[in-house]
Amino acid sequence: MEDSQPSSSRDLDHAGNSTTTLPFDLTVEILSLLPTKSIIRFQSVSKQWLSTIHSKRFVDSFLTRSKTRPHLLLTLKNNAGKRFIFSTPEDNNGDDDKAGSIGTGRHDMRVDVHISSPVNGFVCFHGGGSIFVRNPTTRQIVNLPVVELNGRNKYASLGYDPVEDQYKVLCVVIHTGHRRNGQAHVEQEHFVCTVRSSEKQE
Amino acid sequence: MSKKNIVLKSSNGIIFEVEEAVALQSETIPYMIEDDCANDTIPLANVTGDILALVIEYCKKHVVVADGDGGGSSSSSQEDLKNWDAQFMNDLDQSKIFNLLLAADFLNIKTLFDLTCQFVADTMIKGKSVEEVRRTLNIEKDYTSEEEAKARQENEWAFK
Repeated sequence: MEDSQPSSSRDLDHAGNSTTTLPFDLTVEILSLLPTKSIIRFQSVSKQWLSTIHSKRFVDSFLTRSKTRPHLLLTLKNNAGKRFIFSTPEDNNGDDDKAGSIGTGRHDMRVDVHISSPVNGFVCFHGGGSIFVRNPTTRQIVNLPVVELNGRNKYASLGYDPVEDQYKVLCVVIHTGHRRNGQAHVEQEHFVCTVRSSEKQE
Repeated sequence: MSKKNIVLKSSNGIIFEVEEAVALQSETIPYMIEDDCANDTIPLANVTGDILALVIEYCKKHVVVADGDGGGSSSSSQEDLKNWDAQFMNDLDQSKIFNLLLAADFLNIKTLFDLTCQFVADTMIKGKSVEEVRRTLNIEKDYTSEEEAKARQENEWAFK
């Protein structure tokens, strides 16, 4: 947090000359005002910018601001069962895309997928044996371990655990069969997978 | 209501006398008044005269509007004020803008701080290339060319 008391550590004395540097905390303030596309690009400015942009504090403040400007998430399916997913940019005139050009993130699925409802901007998709979580804003995708289905049905859903501050995907695999005596029997398997930004864990 | 004036002294010794309401838009100055009550002049050791003049110009403009909100006839509307802010920032060069930002931070004038940050973000940073940002903010490249190419490749869309 900023000191509310005046600090004399900042030297403004060379004002009028050429002050071309800003203290890093002010740079971070400015960074946090940028649209996503600029932020993603500016990870390449320096290692300090990269680690700042990835810091929990920055990400949390981004999420807070992002929640005040909802996005649209559209999915379309063509005749071949292929699904396209579009997400609108957070701010129509604020992004650095040229006005009216495609600011939408587009993602094409090879197969049809099911979509679970978004959680804090993350969307979980599952289809066939694969499950993945996508962040439409950064266009990142995290693939989860493949689940062996062997003819069983699968459901997957994304949730947020506020205690551990983690995102988790619950996957339920259900097999409905009959015993020899004709009794129906249901077998369920549950998997919980914790999703992190760039790695995955079971 | 008696109008009290406050005397501010810049780092290079320039004296500004302003109405209390103007100076109190800074959240830092009240602390300094408490600390320095024996002395009438508040020294601002790290704001130069030219920057302090800008800060005061901004605060004067904004205090008038805050006052005139109720019954004032000639005071600017919010829209006018926005235009004034935009013009105010547009007339400054980069060095002035950076120093104004530092001063707004030091003096803790929230609206001026937000205005300056937003102006820097919108006009100097947003939509610029990585190289332009490094130049503007005087940041040294600490990536190797390979690392940079790799980072770029991973987020190709953001560079288009």
